[in-house]
Amino acid sequence: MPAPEITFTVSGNKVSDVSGFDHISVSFYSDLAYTQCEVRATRIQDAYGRGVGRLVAAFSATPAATSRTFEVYDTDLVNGEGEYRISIYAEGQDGGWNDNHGFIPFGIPVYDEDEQVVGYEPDGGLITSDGQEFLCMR
Amino acid sequence: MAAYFQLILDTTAPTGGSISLPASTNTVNITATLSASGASYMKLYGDICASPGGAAIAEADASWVAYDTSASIILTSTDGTKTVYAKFKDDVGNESAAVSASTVLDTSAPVVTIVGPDVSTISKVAGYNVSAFSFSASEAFVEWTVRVVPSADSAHTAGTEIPTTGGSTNMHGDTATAASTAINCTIYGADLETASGGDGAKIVKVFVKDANGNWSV
Repeated sequence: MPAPEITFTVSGNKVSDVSGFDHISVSFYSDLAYTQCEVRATRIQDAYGRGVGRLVAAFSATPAATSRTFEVYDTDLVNGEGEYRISIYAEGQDGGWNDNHGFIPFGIPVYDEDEQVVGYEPDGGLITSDGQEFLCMR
Repeated sequence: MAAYFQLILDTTAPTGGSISLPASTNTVNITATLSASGASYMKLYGDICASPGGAAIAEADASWVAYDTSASIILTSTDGTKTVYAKFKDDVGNESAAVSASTVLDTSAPVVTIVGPDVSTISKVAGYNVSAFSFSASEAFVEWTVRVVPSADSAHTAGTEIPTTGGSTNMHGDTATAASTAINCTIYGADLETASGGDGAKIVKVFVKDANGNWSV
């Protein structure tokens, strides 16, 4: 089963410490139900991942296609001026996360006559969180 | 698939803010030149007003407008030194400190005083063909013209400047001259005739222009 795929909209791409400009709002939903979700802020050049960086927001189990909203304030960006990566991590019901550091069991792909994936058979293998088929691990 | 977006924290106000005005002006309608790095908006206040003759705009009453490198402004109407302030703001509300510039508004025209002429009727006959007078002004001036004009209240653009081809002197000049300094002039009959044509009473008027471009009336 693939990991949750998050779709989001943001109200802006820049904040300051001036009232009225000190936060943005983010709305998102997942195509699959998730058991937990966390939002992290890290400097763009720094390491990122679940549990890394400033925790901006966290959500408990949420059904698929349910909209959630959170704000990112300037006070969440604690490492000075510049660009930050705001990451939304969600854990699917099978325990797979949508981040770049895990591999998600998905099954054997079933292709149609145009070689498009139309479904999966169980116990087939792994995909990365980017949705690409995982081929090997060293 | 990882879900993320990039967000910028920017708490730095626009930098390098500046405003410049002409050193002096004879009109309330002038252009301010502005500059600031990273500015999206600006506001101007001080000795300026929304319409001619209006009240000065305080900072609290000034509106933010889109940043531009020039702005047409209207100075408050009384003559004197005018100070205009500018502030700049970026797209996330970071506001610069105020910068300012000053200009001198001078809309008052110089007043010309004429002494003479020594004779009020001339011809083109030697010995009777020249009239002398002098003039001075209430303030320093940078240009003058002596003209035959159609009426006593004519402006400096009216009538015809008296030429000097017939021997007249100081019918025009652009020498910076201090206030109350006399300029001696002579008008010859031939030149007066060239400027006006025909016998009869002529209205000869001296106009001077101050450094701010105000012509006497």
